[in-house]
Amino acid sequence: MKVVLYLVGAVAMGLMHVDAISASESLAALYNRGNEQYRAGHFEAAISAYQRVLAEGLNNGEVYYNLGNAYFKNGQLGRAILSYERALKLMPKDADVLANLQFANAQKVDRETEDEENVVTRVLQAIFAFFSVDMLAVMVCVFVFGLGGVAVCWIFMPIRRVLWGGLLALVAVALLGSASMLAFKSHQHRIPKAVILADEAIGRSGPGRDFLQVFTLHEGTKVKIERAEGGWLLVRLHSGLGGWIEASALERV
Amino acid sequence: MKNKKQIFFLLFPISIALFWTQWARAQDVILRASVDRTRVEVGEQIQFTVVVEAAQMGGLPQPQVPTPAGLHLSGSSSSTSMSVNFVNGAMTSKRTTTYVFSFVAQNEGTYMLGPAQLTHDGKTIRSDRVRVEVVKASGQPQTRAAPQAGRSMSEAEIRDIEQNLFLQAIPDKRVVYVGEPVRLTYKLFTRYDLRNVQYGHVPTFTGFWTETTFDAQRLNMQRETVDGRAFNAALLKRLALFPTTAGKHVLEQLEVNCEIVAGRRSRSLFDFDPFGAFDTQHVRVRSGDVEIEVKPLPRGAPIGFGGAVGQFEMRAEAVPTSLKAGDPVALKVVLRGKGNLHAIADLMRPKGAAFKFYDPKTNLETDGTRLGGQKTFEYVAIPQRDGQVTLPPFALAYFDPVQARYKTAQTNPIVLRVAPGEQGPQPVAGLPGEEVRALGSDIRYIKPDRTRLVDQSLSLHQRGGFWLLQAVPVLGVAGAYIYRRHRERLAGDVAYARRRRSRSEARRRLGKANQLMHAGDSAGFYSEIHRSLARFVADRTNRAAAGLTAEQVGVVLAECGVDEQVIARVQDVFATSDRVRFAPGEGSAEEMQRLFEQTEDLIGALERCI
Repeated sequence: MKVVLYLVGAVAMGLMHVDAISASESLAALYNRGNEQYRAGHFEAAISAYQRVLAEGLNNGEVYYNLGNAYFKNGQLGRAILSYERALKLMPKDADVLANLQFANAQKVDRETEDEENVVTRVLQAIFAFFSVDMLAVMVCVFVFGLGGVAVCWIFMPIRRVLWGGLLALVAVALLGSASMLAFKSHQHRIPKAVILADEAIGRSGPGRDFLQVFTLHEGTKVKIERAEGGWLLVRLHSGLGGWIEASALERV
Repeated sequence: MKNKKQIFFLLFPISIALFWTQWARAQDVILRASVDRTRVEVGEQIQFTVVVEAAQMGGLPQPQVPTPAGLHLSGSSSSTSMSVNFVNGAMTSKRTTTYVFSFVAQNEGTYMLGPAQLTHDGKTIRSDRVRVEVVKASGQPQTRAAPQAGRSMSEAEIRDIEQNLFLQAIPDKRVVYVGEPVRLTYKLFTRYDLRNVQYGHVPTFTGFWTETTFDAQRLNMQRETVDGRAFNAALLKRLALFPTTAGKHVLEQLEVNCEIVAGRRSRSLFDFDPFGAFDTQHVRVRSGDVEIEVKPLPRGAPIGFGGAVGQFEMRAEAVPTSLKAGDPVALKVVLRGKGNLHAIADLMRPKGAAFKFYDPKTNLETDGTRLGGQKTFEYVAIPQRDGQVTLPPFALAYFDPVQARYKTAQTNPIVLRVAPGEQGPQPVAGLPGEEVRALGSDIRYIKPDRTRLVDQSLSLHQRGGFWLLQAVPVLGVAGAYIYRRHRERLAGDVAYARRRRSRSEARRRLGKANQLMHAGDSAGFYSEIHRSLARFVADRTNRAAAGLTAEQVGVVLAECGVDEQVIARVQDVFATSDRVRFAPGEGSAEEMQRLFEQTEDLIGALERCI
């Protein structure tokens, strides 16, 4: 009886797997059709093809990247930047995405004030940017195994206490470092961000049209979302400037 | 006596100085001639002013002015002023006499007025000659308007005031092209003593770009003769009007409010004012209507024509003329001439890819009349290639209203020597070719087609398996620790070692007993059964197995708290195996099987108890 159940289960699993593969293949076909439209210069058709792929619930950086390109060529700068930001979230180290995002950002109206950078912050930022979330996860895993390995060695060869103790401390520090960086990075990823899609969005001192106008943002500018209230979002700029913007003027990354 | 001497010494240098200056400047007599306007209509007046400047204290004769045929000398007047200056002990004196000769134009044509000349100390001194143009009368009515009195007056009175007080708007042209300036002069003529002269309505001149060249801050009266009558005339305003739209424009009237001082002349018994010093009459004067016809610019404007009207010339200079590729060169283009310079925003820049231009900085300097001047365009250009590069001319297409045709002003071409820039590696000598340059920038191309698309929404650390994997080393370390403890006890603790081995030993012996049972060796079987059970109990309780009899087993097991029934069964197995062991041939196969199973059960039961 049990054997029969296992068999049925295995067959079902296999079928589901096959089903998943065929779904992914049909989505790939849709994506390829989008690429075809892009090559032919039919950017609107390409956009709708890519959007259908994404509407199926598939989160793929290459699809977002190509969608961004199609939006850019179609003259929709805000949506292009939004798509590139989404692609970057999924493929943080992809050179194409970084290059096109930079190119698109250079076309927008608002200019972000750059921080004053000294050598230390630049080095730290370079290190921080070098490690991706997945890389850090792999490092955490490796260090956990390393820690276990050293502990087992110590258990079976208790004579070399200094060697094993030193190694243990070293690996533990590395583990702590990578784990805290992973935690920080994944926290950063979770901060909700949005891109302005309207031509012009007015930042106000409160959630309503009667409040004082604090600043004006233009299409393509990226902001952090801090609070939401009744169709209004409290956004903060890189410079620290904050204001309430109507939720319809922007879209979350 | 002493004092007298001092005064003499004091006076002597002063008198010497006075004499010296007089002697030195006696010869300096200057004659300057000018006219109030160079173009008049037939019937209008020209004032020819001759200024005689002399250092001499004594009088000079009136200069002689010839009257050209076609003009009629209608009158003359003169005034004299004198100034004496002491500067650092040196005295200069100047006597200036101004003679105004009024001519009335009778015939059209171009006339030369002057030279004015006078003879002094046997020498004849001449002024410059001034060229004037007399054009046909335009047929417009005299530009004067009736003054409006502040209170009711009789018609005779109004006519009387009209004759003696009027405001004239005098344009220099009445027919112009769009963009061609009209000089408009407002003059107030009066034979009364005026007070409180103020502007009422000031025209806004719709359809014109206005530049004010003169705006009187106070009335500066000069004598002028109109229709044979001498007037005090004051220039109020002088404007340059640049028409912006074609069509007939009637200029708004300028309005001036003033009071006429009429002296102590009372009109009636009741008007008599015993306290007022003067009887004043409030009057409002307006300039007459002036119609300007603005003609549209003719068809056939050249390409690049931007509405410049006038006469222009241009020159350009570049600093520096030898430079490196990529370095900027400052180009200064100066546009000079008469016309609507303010309307010229930019010039036609040279075409071609050899230079990159940035938008110019402009600076407009107009002359006093605002009808001309110079406009400077400062460009920054960056040569795009090296070698000897010729900067093609800048150009301006404009309309010349005098010749009524379009013209183009051009700058001279400028040759620049451009040395190769520093940036980028230089091509290796002997190898032809040039460095690859980026011609444009665009976004990077799309990602290629895929046969499968992977969902990337979950990163590695967000999957459950990742954290399960982290449990592996933890469990490994725990297992290793437990294993080491086990090994240590086995090595050091006999009781632990025997106890740990007891079950496997018992199983091994039972296996052997099973083999003996199947071989039919009953003696061996019972002996093995007995041994396995006895050794098991001995191992579990860490005793010697040799002397373990059925009674002793009972005591030992009872000490360990084993159930009475189990003890009885153990003792039964011991008894049975002992009995059959020492009486061979006994025991059937069934009995052996039963005993074997009983022993197996017992070992299992005892394992749980002890």
